[in-house]
Amino acid sequence: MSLALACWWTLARTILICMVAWPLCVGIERWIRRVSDGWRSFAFGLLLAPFLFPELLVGYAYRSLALSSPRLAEGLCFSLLLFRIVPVGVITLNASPSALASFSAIHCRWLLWRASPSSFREVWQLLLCLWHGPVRRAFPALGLMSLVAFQEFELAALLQTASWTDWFIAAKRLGLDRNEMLKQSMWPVLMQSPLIAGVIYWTVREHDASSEQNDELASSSIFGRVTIFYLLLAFVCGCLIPIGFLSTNLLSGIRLIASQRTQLTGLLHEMAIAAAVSICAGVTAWSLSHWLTSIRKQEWFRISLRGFLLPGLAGSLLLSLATGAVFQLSWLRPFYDTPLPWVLVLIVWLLPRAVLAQLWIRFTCQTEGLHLAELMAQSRPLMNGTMNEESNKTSTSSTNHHASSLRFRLRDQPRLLAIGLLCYWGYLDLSSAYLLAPSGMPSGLVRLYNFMHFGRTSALSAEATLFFGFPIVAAWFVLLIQRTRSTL
Amino acid sequence: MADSVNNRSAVLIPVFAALVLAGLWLSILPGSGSDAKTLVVYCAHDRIFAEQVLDDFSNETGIRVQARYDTEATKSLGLINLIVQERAQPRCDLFWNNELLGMVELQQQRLLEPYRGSSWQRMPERYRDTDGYWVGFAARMRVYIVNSHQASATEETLDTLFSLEPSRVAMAKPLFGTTLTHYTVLWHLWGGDRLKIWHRDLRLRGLREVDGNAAVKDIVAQGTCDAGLTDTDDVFVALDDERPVEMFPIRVANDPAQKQPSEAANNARNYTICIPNTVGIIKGTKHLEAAQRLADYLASAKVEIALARSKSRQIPLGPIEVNDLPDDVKKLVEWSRDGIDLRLLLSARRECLAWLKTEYLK
Repeated sequence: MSLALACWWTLARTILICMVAWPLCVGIERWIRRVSDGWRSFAFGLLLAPFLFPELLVGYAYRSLALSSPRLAEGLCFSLLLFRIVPVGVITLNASPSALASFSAIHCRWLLWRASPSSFREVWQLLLCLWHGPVRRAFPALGLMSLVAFQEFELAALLQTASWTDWFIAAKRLGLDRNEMLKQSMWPVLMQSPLIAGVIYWTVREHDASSEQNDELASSSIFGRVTIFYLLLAFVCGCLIPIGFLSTNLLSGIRLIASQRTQLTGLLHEMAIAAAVSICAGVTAWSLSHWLTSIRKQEWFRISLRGFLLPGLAGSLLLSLATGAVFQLSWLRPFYDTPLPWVLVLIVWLLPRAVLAQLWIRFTCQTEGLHLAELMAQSRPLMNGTMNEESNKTSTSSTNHHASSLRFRLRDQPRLLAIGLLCYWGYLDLSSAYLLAPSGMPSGLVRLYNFMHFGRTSALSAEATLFFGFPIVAAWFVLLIQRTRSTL
Repeated sequence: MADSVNNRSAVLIPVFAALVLAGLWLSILPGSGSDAKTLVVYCAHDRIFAEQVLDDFSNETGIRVQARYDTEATKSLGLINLIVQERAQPRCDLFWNNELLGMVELQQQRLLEPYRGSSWQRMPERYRDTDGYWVGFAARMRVYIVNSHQASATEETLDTLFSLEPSRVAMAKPLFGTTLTHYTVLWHLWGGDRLKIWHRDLRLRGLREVDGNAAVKDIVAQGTCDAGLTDTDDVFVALDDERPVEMFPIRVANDPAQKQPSEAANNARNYTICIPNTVGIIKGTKHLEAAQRLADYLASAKVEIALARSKSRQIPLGPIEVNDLPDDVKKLVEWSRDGIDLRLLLSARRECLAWLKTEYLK
């Protein structure tokens, strides 16, 4: 398949998936806003699980089934991608600025235009109304969903469905000339550019803190049931089935790799490398995003700075190919076989996600609560006749304890989770590890990707459990330490 | 105050992380400190088997090996192109290829260092370069894999499938690996025009093309296709998993009257396709002595026997005591005797690959 055809095919798949996903996103987002706080956390967890679950494992779990027929493979790719992009849409929609024009306003504009259809002014006003109404609300979510679907790599490769990403990997392996490769990359870049521009436009806008939604629907029990059914279906297909597949041969696999010292030490070494690189990239991307979103200078300065987000939105595959080519230029060649290109690509790729996480945290952060916690931490108990010095000390300590615990929950925990998520994404990025890891520093992910072509499921199960389980255990451990520190 | 602390940590944490990473990289950098003897090996052989061999070599000699592997689907060609791209500043000391023609390509591009060591001495002429630029060892063969529940493993069945139902036959995309070598042999024996017609006809009539030989094995073992073209090591993976598959060697002939490759089976001039691993030392290596030791080690009788006894059942090419070999491999040794001499096929490979690029990438 030619690159142009592969690009158009991927684009058609992306558009179709987004068309199916959009009503689901709107419905789920409204449903989530209506449910109680306890349920909301649970629903978010259920929603995000298919997006955060390693897609390498998902692809591998369904690979045998996909081999049965190309049509089935395409159907599987479509469904699994749908499960992955709906969470992106819901989260973005939830954090998006509210529409400035209500449906009533649009309807009024529509009526005015109908009254004088030849008036250019009325057409313009109607378009403006639509722009500030549904478009303003929908574009960020639709844009990000399309980018995630269009840039899909591992799933398409393992399910053997047509994709432009697969074309580039094949071309790279065949030694396509660097200039030719860069020339060809214009196809996917051009196809993505309107979306990227839109997403950038959205991120440079100032967000109103009160994002009051004006598109509430009356609650419906059937609607709620459909949402719950979808969430459960996505969780089962996107997470539980791959976990079940992995668990089938887990014990024999653990025994096998325990007996093969070479493989076990190799994997642990590669896990450490992947972790070090991803932590370095994750924290750097977070720091840069903190700086980018905190700038309080002129509008043009902020906009130009946020141009740094552009390359990251093009996806890690294109970024890795371009960086690999750039680092083979004579003056950069000394750095080619170092971790620098790999880390650099991860930072640039993670940067838009880090900015999104910053905006999401600011949007959801309870600033009043945080301010009260700060005040509480600074407060001193009043000395009066009824309390002695000892009880004052006890009271201060108790207040400080509550204040720091509150501060941790409101401020530090979301930040830690966001940084952890960035590191996790870096840890799971196959394209950059595959194309840019230097000699002696391979990522365990490439090893797993390699094994997935052999059907050695028992050893793979054990190794995958180790590799993918490690960040979860590490995150739990860090949170535990932080929580303990904050309560001491 | 809190903000200034945040800003400070926003700078300090990444700097700290970068320093840790730089330290990690420097500690494993080949040639640094006590690791002056570290060899960088690009390895296209299956990692599952190669890792143990290289580890044994390190334990025996004290020479540390850093191996770079590639994925099953695209491995050998990807590493060859990488060596070509890095010619100005090679980071690879020794290349362990899983086929032969890629190594001949590197030799033609003057990227290899000649060495006629003990391993070179023990190999038959057809499996080594005359000047010692590379040496072959431990081969596998191109075979038909047949699902024994759905079809019989005979030439006639394959003829019928190819002519009537090619959609029941699976093959890896011929851009890479041993399937590329297979196509090169066909190009050489049949000529480009005939191969193009055969290939386009099969694709048009629904031949199942997948991303690698392991996928061919899977698709046949699970019964989606009745038969496929793959390598012996992949078939043994299925047989070890007690899947209902059988195999027999692919034989090709240069008789233009024959329409299908399998029809050549009855012809006495038929060739099998036996594809050896090859090892070559990269020109400009800073660890020549260590690379020579590894080259001798890899093509030694010991490693050949170890690979023959491994799950991949590689075919030893040098003189070996037959009793040391498993029964499965003894059969393969018989088949490999009809193997075509691959050393002269470089021009056919180049032409074939150029055509395949236009077929699959344009």
